[in-house]
Amino acid sequence: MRTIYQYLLSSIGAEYKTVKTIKTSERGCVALLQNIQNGTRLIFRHYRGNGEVYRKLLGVSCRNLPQVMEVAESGGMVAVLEEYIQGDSLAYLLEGALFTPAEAREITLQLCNALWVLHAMGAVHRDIKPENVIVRGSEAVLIDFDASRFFKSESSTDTQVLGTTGYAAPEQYGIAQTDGRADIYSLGVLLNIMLTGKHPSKELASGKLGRIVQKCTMVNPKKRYKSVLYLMEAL
Amino acid sequence: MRKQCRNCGAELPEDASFCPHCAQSQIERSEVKPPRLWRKKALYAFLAVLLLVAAALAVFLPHRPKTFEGGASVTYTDKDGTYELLVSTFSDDLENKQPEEKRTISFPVDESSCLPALLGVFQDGELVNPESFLAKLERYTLKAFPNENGALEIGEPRYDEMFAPSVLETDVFFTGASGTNALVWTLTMKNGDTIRLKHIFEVLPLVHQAYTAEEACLDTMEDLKALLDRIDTEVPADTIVDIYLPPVTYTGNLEISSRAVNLYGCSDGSGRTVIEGTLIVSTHDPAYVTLCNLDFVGSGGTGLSATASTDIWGCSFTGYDIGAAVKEGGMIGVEACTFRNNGIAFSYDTLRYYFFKTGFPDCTIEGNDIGIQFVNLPSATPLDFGGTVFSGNRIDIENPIQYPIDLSNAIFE
Repeated sequence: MRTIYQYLLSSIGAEYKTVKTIKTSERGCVALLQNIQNGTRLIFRHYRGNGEVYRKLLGVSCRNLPQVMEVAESGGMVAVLEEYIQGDSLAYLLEGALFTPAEAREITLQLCNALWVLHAMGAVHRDIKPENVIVRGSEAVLIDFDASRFFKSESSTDTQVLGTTGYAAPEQYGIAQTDGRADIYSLGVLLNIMLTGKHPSKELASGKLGRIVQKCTMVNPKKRYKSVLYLMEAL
Repeated sequence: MRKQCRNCGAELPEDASFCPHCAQSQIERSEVKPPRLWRKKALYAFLAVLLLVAAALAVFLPHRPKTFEGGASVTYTDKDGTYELLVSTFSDDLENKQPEEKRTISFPVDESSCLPALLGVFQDGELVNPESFLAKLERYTLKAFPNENGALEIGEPRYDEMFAPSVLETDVFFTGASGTNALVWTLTMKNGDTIRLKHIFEVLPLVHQAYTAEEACLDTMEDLKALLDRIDTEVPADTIVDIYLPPVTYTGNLEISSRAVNLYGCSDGSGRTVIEGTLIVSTHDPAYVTLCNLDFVGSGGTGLSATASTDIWGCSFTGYDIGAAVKEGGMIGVEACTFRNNGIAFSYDTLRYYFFKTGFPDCTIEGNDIGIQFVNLPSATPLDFGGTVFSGNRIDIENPIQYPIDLSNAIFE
């Protein structure tokens, strides 16, 4: 009897065409697929790792997260079909211009919504950066949970270095256990980038948002906002 | 186990969440939103309310009417400074900044008298200007609250320059049966503040003890002085002493200085009691000295000199430079007396007294150089000479201070 993993891969092979290969790495690849019959576009992720975060997102609907359509695992490999978010990445938009404080605040608030869903499940995104934020109309959608994992309070450090240099919190480099406050750090960096185009260590945004960035990016996680809810309050 | 797509009917694995054929989800999704952000808003709302309350209190509290209560003294503060208020029945106490928590006097049950109740106010150790402090007052009262079966009559408080150290003064009328009362001053300030001061006024009833010629030797002035000395040592202070004198002539001077005694001359028709000399009344006893039916006969000098409260009735004064003289701190109440052939029949020369009779009735003032002389006499209670006869005096009344007098019922011959 075929597993759901085998069924998914064979169905994709038969009924979808690859529009674009978005990313390939040693761990796997990400591709944009299109249903041959009805033209529906979907993101297909196929990588070696843990699909637990995607599985938990299966039953969840949040306007700031892509809908996960299917998750299948076999032999350490994970296959994920998720909603394709039609829009421009924040990285692309930042090439054109910086954001106004009001725009940056609104995007950060929406990313907080997305992170709250992840954190409520006990997951950490661990790779918040402009490339992983798609702006769809007035909505900011956080994508790519490949680096995500569930944090465990008993373990003192993470075993792998994941995330994107510059955005990752110090504890993601093995200093301490990663939890939701690592995402708050990255979100703080992202907010600063939206406002100044630079990492806060280079140029901190001015005013109230600058102070929020400062608190988000404290080296000691205990000095950051305790959760995204506190950050949302501050915003 | 297989299942069918709920959209296109395609056959799907039982655990499939998605139909790859029609690209439709096969599961129900629940929309997830972060909880409402109430904490900060609630905190802001709370802080705003707190701020408003604090602001309201900051405005209201400093101006909130306050009540200052004390015993015989109270410290009161308003926008102009801090004041020490104190009460007493002695002017001297006020001048010395001595509040009088309790005043106890002994007084005959069947007699009445009055004492001044005084309120003094100091600022920075100095007596305040009465006018400036009175300008702060909306109203003021002095009331008596009997602790036992006390009974007092209290006049309206007012400023009286005769009691100059005090800002307010009123008379407290009492009898020996007045008992113990709390005198409570209540000052209501124009700024809404209330000041309350309280002191106790206790009247102990006096009993009478009489001395007559049968019981004591009263033949000479020396005998009389010896009796007064004996009374000082053997008679309790709360006893009124009445000495009934025989119809003899006492030659020499006598001073009633330690306690009040009453001297009654002979009135049974067998003769008169005569004093040839000067009688000085200087006791500090609050009970006043009563002198009845005594004939003072002199050759110059003063017949009766009073620096304490004295009451004379049925007496006569003849041949003195001054028949009867009211001196500083004293007062003589006069009724039915005769002043004849003196330099000055009667002289008022005091700025302070504790007892006053508003009448000078039924007297005969005859053949004197000056009848009534007003040198000093504060207050403005009119003196009524109803029934008094002025006859043959060079000057009937010498009144340079223009003390108010009522001569409408006096007789001038």
